[in-house]
Amino acid sequence: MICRHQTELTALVDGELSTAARVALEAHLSGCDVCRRTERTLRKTQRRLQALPPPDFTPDVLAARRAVMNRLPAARRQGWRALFELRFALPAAAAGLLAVAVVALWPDPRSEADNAARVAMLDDVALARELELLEDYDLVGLERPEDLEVVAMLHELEAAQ
Amino acid sequence: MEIDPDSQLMMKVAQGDRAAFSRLFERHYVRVTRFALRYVQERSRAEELAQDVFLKLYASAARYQPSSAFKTFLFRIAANHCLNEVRRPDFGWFRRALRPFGAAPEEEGSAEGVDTAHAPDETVAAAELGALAQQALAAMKPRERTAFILCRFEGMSYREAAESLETSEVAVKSLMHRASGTMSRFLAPYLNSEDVGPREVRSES
Repeated sequence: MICRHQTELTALVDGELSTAARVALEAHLSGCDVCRRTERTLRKTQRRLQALPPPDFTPDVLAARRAVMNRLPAARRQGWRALFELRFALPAAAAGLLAVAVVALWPDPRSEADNAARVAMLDDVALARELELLEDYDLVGLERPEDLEVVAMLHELEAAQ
Repeated sequence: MEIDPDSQLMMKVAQGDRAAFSRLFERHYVRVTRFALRYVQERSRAEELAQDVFLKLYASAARYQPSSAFKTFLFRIAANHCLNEVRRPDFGWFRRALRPFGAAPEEEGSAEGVDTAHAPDETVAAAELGALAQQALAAMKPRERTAFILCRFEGMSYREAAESLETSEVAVKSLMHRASGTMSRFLAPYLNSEDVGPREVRSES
């Protein structure tokens, strides 16, 4: 016969029952031979395992593994953080730049004269340069902060030509 | 929330403090290796797995949040890593673990790393008991085994084991119930008397 309280016995032996549950189960144990035998077996099993010596490891093993750990490169939190910021900062900057351009170029029905003046104020050459720069960022991939310098050098080379 | 000393060390590792990582390694490497050895039952593989666990720990330092005890974080990595190991199709020990339940201990030889040929009786008894315990662990399902090792050998509470296993305390209670039953069945020859020895075990089997 399998008593429904059997599933609670391991938790009882492990001291994992609430006080109320433990008291109730102990009261049940006093009248249930099956559960009492199981509980006794579980406690003996636990004692037998606790008596076993833990596996041992030689100092040589530790030294060999320690040597591997000592060869690890420096933690890269700063680098990853910079890269994380770069990945989000650049698209945000690009979006901002485009938003400014769209707002500036969008036809305003209020005044054709104002529109003409606003367009005239735009430095088209500068805008084109910024957009070109963003295309280069996209082309290079920007995996590291140093890639910004690579793009800048490319532009210097183009200018020199 | 009070941050345990190991969590503080881990936060220093995240800032690039190599000495803090060395201290964590010295404090926990043997524990992780023992955990892995009980899991995969092969000493050299266990040492490699434990090393991998620390490499993963180092790599995950930047993402570490001291929202739970460092020990549960460390053993979550260890448990997942060992679980992946035993799920590999070329994991030989796992295949052997699928043998019929209740194989006689003599068929399995002595406990790993213990030469019982000329050992005193108590050493032989301990080795055979250890071998039976290993067979029982091998017969458990991986998550039962993980819960059992964490609670019985690493001294974790059900709540801590649940955090390491990323499950609920109720689930751990169920895993422990089944795992404890398996362990008791394997150790049954040693449970009839506190002083039972290997000869008595053989006469009973």
